[in-house]
Amino acid sequence: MKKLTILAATLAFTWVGVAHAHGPSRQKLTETVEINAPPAKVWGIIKDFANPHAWMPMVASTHAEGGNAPGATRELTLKSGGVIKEELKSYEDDKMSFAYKISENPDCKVLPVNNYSSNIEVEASGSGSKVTWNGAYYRCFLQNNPPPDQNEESANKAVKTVYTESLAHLKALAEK
Amino acid sequence: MERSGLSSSLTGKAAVLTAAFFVGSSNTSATPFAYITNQKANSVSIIDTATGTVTKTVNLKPGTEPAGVAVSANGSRICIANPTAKTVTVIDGSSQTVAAEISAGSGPVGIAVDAKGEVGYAADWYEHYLAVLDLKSNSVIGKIPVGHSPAGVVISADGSKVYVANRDDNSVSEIDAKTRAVTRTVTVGKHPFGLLLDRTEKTLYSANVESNDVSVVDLARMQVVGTVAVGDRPYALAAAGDRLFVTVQYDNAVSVVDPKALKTVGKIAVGEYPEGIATHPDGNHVYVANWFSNSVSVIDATALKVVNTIPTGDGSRAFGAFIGPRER
Repeated sequence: MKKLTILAATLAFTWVGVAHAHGPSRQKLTETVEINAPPAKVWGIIKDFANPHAWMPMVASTHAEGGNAPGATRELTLKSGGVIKEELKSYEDDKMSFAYKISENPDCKVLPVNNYSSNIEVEASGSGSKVTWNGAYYRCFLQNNPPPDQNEESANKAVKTVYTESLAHLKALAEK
Repeated sequence: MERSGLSSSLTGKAAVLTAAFFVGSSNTSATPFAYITNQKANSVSIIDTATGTVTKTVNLKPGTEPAGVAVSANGSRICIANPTAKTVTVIDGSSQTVAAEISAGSGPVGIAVDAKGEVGYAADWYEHYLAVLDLKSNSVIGKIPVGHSPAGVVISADGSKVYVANRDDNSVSEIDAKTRAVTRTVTVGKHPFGLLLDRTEKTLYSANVESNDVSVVDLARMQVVGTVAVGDRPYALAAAGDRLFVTVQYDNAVSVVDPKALKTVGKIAVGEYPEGIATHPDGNHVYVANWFSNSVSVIDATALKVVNTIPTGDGSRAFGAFIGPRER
């Protein structure tokens, strides 16, 4: 699960996104899916950082810059409305894995999280593949005593929905 | 300016550290223990550092979500800060069981305890003060107003001075323990979280989460005298030999810093989202709690590599001084 980051690239990389205060308890979520298709085929669907709309059903379109180089950016326009801005943190084609983060905390109504970061990887599993998607984030509400739609439970539910729906869609695409 | 505290030879450093740890506490065993807060598992994993295994797990109530930790230098008291439960759990160092649960404000995160385990200081994230904890009566006996969203807390060896990172003010404050008031404040990098007080207590370091660097503060002048870029999202620091070790969360690594040259000189891959970091009293092993990986990495500070990985519990944070001797 642990990924060795590309050290030189990371050292040179400077984070310039806007981030805000957050509560003291970070949340984490891991979702996996087993897919009856070769890892290379699965990776082929998700490997382009500029192409999340190809496999994430809630994404209508993407505006991206920088390809698959660390520091590349993408703006996901959601079908439900709203935009999520993300930045590629590290990319390892040989390990079929990349890590990214949300670079500007989204409107709580779009995705109720703060300081979200994530990594996704594809590995061989039996005769097929396994995809593991990790997220780490805080709830959206910045002060004490959050309203129900901005608490930890709501953050976890929102991220879990994105992961499970996207992984299910990825499985369907890869097993076609 | 002097930063000689980190430059002594490894052997000398180890000897001094060991002496400092055990002087005046002859009833402590030679084996230090590491107390790892597991935020998601609501537990504290206690690692016997002689064997590198978890010998005991202290289970806390569901919803406690322990984060900060401080072991007194004599090993008598271990204080655990629980931001979600809004409490501080006191663990008795001898029996390694829960001795008390103290209600403490709205969100205690960072915590420090004096050498004898008599007084603790818990930073309240939401109400912007340090709660003064009397560990004899197990109650809050004072509140010291500090900056916004205070995080890491460190205390001088004699207990006279306390330093706190005011995360949302981008500053570090010095507190006089006797008057319980802020005496001086210095602006550091963006969003300081963990602090490290140099062994000589002449220099203080802050890990600045959002400016991705470490501020070097000369405490005589209370001024920043250097800034070192360390990687993406640094959280906490430890010192071993003449190097600093900084957990860098988004890099899943510990950055190795030469504080004299003000340079990052190496990077050691550890588990995912490393947070708490502390130096073993032998002066040559650095323990790192990996929040996402639910483990502790043990780094050989001379070889600069991970020599052991110890499974702990879900969401290991261990934010604070988490290693100390066991009082018998």
